Amino acid sequence: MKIRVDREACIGAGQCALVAGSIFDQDDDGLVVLLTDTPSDEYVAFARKAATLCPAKAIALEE
Amino acid sequence: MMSVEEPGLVIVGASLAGLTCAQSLRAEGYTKKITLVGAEKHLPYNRPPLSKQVLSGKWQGSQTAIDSSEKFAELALEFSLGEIAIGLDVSSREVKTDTRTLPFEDLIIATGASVRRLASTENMSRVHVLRTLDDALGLRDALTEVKSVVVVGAGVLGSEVISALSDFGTKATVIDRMPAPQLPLTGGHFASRIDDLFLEHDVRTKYGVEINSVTEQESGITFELSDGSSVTGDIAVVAIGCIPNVDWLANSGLDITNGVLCDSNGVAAAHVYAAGDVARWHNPVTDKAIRLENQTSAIEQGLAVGKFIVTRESSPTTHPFFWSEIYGNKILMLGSLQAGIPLTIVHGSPSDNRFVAATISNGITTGIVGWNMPREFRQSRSMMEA
Repeated sequence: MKIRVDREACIGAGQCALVAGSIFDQDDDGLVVLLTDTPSDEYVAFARKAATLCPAKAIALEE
Repeated sequence: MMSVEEPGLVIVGASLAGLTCAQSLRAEGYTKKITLVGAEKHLPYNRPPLSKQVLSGKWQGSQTAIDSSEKFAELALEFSLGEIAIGLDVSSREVKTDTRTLPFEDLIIATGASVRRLASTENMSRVHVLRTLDDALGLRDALTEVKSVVVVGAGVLGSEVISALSDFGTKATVIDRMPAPQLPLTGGHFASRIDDLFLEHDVRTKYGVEINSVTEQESGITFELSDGSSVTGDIAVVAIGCIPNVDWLANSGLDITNGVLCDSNGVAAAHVYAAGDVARWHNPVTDKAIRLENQTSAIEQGLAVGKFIVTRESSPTTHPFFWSEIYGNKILMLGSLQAGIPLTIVHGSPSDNRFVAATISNGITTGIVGWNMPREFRQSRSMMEA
């Protein structure tokens, strides 16, 4: 899985960092920061959850 | 894995709630056919950017698409767009649309809400509303040609529109029957802050007035108000809320008073579920059924319904959440602030225009708001878990 984030779309809700803190963080403006764009298998489900929950739909997954 | 003769699952409404249900069903292992019937001609798109990035011209309309048609094909979702549901028979398990009768094994109602129009202005070409992608693109085009706009409604949508007008250098007047601007879930705590922003940006404000009449002329539009004054603009934008799209369910036997009444799993009747803006879910914590019109509720209800249909497991009730950006101020709101209780400042300072605040009642945090402090807002969300 490869993760892409759109910082133009991100609104800093922080849902991604809440459900998948090992993959996503927020910078000082609250915008998404990707800690890894290729999560290991055990974290793939968390990445999916984060993408679904993102209210700005700023997380895209390529599987 | 799919069999054509089975009716499978029908989702009426192809926007965020309906799509999230479909994604959730597939993620939980649902293998039967899923058909999404959508009244709009567009594949599912994201509404929040319409009043923000799209209206300001930063985004093309296509950038609001939630996912590609390839992604939907991978999930084996069948879209039927531009098809309008007109009736439901719960006992025979059939949806009637403008073109056919569609049988279902399970049905999810996700028809959302429609913009509330101002009486007598429905056919006026100078009166705009903002709910759909087409509305947003039409308004954006109109804004490039006008010098003054009257906004009816000083809620969150009206406030976002007014703030976008300053990017166009357009003169704005706002009318509201309430005495002050209102952001949802904030218990009135931000009324004066929003009003100050309007004043700073030379917005003319008319609060606490009713509209007596509206007249469209060749050159503009005029509102006669209950205080005896009148307001004129080149165009008007009406942002006075939404009404759930339940007319097609009038003869279904479902309780559709202010939305489709559901239990806390989204069940409206046997084999019939509802999610998103159209649904009024029972909240087991407050023992009340309320309709929530926000993005995260649509997502969370969609996830919960998909999971419940496949596994019969309930999902925990979550807090409503919304965000806004008004004159560049990033506002994040979780839960609801209580009116009449002073705000507790958790981070930052209101005088610096950066803070996180909460209302705490009997030791329970009812809501937290972040104003230009998203990271601290997220870190403070744990206050709501107590």
